[in-house]
Amino acid sequence: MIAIKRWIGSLLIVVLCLPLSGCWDYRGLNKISIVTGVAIDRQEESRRYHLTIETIDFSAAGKESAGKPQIVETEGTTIYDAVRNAKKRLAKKLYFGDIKVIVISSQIAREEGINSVLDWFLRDIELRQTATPIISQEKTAKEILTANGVDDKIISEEIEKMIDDDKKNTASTKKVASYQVFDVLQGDKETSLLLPAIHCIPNQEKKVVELNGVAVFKEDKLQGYLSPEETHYYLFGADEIAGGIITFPFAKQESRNQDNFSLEITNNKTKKSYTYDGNRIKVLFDIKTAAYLGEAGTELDDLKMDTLEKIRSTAALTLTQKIENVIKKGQLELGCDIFGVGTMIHKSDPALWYKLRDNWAYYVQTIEVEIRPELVILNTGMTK
Amino acid sequence: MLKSSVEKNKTATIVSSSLEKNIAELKHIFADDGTIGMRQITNCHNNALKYCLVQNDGLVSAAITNANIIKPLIQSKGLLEYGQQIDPLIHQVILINQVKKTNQWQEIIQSVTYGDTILFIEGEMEVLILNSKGFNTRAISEPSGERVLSGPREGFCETLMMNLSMVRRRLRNHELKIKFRSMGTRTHTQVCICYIDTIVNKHVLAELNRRLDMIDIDGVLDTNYITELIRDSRLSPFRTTGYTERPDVVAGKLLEGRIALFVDGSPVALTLPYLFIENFQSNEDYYLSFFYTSFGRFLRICGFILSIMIPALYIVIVAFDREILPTTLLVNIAKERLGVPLPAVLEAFVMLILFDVLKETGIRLPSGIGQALSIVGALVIGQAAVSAKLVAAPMIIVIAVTAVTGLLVPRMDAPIIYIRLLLLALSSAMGLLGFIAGVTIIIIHLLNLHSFGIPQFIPASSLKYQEVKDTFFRGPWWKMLNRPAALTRNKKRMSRGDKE
Repeated sequence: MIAIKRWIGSLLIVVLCLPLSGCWDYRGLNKISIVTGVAIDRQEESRRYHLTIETIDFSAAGKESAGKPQIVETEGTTIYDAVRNAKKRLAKKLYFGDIKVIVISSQIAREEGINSVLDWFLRDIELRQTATPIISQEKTAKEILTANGVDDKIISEEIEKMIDDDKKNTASTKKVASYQVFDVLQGDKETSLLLPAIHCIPNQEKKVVELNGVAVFKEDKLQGYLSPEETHYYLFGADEIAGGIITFPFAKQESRNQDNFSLEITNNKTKKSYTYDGNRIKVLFDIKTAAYLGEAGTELDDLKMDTLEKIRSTAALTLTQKIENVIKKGQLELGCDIFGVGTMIHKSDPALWYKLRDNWAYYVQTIEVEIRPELVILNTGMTK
Repeated sequence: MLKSSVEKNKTATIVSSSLEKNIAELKHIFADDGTIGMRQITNCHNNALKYCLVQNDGLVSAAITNANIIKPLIQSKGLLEYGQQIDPLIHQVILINQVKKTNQWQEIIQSVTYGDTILFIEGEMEVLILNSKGFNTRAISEPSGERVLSGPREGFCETLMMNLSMVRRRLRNHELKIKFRSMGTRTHTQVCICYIDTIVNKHVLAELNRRLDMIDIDGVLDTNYITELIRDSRLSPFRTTGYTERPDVVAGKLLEGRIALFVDGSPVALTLPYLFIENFQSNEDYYLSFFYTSFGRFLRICGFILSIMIPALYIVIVAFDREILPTTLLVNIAKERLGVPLPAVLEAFVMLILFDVLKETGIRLPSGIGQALSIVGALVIGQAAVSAKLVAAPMIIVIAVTAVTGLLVPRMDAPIIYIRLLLLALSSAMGLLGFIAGVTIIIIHLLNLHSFGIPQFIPASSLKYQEVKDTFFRGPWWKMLNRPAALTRNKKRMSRGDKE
């Protein structure tokens, strides 16, 4: 009897686990079409969503290549409707589990906000929440997905790799996953949302895509863009930089012509702190940067300690100015709290935040900043 | 035939003092049996001393019979008197190492069929059983199922006494107890229980004897007959008793407090209690460097886990949770699956069963045909099926890995086959959920397994250093100070004069 009870008990444990999960279904790999990217536009006349879906066509692929891109276009009153409508043109079912990018047209982002567009991508179970939303600076988002990739035939994969690697190389855009968009938009909206921006440029007579800084949002509406260079210095302030170059003009002697120097950033740590005097908020940026001298103009022989010190201070000054410019642009031109000062206050002093919250748009514009760069040049690269 | 004749003469269980009557009874008992030979002799100095030797041809040594039995019986002078000759025969005449008196027909029948010579004596109420065994046995060789690279190569053969001698030579100690009993109502097979008195767990020993007493079977031809009758969890595919064909392994197990059971006629010894980890232990683990063998042990455990899980996980990933895969891999698999008519699940079942078919044919195949089989197996099924798009290439890889890892643990054959299919079925019905449910069921089952009152999973559930030193890895000998605590109360392995 006890044995039977034990059996029933353990069986119950197993069976009761089953409804705890989500859905399951058996679907063979040859019945699905793998979606890598989606571009979302608004159809001019019908005002319906126009989706450009990139899938992988592996039937055409030979032994060497992984597959060719295949484009499916579809329309619908909602995103979900449009996705379902695509099945009318396809034998296989679209599978969104491996989606890399969601390209949203700037027109939708500016006029309607991205909330309604991204909702389905966050809500549907099949989708992976790490897909990267991107703002297209072209007239339509479709142009991005139909452009040519330089080293990857599948453009969505190329875009995703470019954005992933950007942090360590050029540091000129910011990777944001779709779940992070959700976090920002569903939060207290104290911080602006930034999404990577992308545009098309000609390269060897072909149209290719290029990352072009970030798009700045107020709540879910597009306010404007930061150029790649501005984004680079924004990332310094936001403590999100892991590489890239600082360039600045420098003359070794007063009489000489100025040369352009490059410092390669190896390590950076930025600490933000704020003070509030009852009227204004003052934010202090403590920036600690370590860099190599990457390129030193024409004169190679003459890097004495004092010259190096001069290079260092010039670079630090450049850094300060550029970061200040970005902050100014954010505050005044876009009216956005791009550095997340609101979040910082909210976390450390909630009472203060609830006081400031209602007039936050005003406070954002009056924030004073002080930047204290601490730049170290680790080596000159000339020991070879 | 034999049984019925004995039953018919139930009254005649005791031998008579008349040689005539006894011979008539013998002829009755062994009617239609051409191998039983009778030889009547008379002492040449005293015609009243009549004897009859009964032997089974082919089981006895003619040289021993002639020189040590017949010759002294015929030639002895003055020592023997009619009616009082049993003791003088034993002590002064017959030159045989083992002599036994009896008056039971049943015992006579069993002895004669085991190669003994029965000496019937005119005028005596008892007969003598003389040891004259001289049958041929297989030579000692290395068991093919448990080969080693280095270490002792002796293996058991089919003769009980020879097997026991091999164990005895390794444990020269009065504490090694060897107890005989007879099993099988028709085969009267000799079964022998060995243990080391001071180390063995007395409860396990008592339990073993209790279970052996309950056995009612007509024949015992191999150890497995006993195993299946006395094991715990009879319906579990997992082993709850150990087996080996090597005397060094038996000695090692006895030293850890286990009990060994031998069956005459079988080269396989049964060892118990059996811990789960013994499935992954090999005697060679202890003969080679512990660095090397620890890795091997680890591989075997991984091999078991992989072998039961890989086909199921493949189905889970390919048909349910594709997002686990990186896109490139997903595209590659999808590319290969393109145009394959069977769904992945059916493909997996078919290929798994096909592999087991190949394996089964390979085991009992005459060695000459093996090559043809491997060509058919590898070429036709592997190469041709893929290029004909009957089976996807990733599936072949999955099956190959499953098969190879499964061969790492030959002791787990039966559980691997069943669990693999169980997990595969559950996974194909319910995806990752079914898989996890299956694994949960197996773990619950394993934790419930006992071997003669001892939980099989003991070292895994109580993590003490001395307990795990011989589980996932093989600790060096200078660290293995204790015996496995579950098996014995006498824990210290390394203490001088091992006395409690």
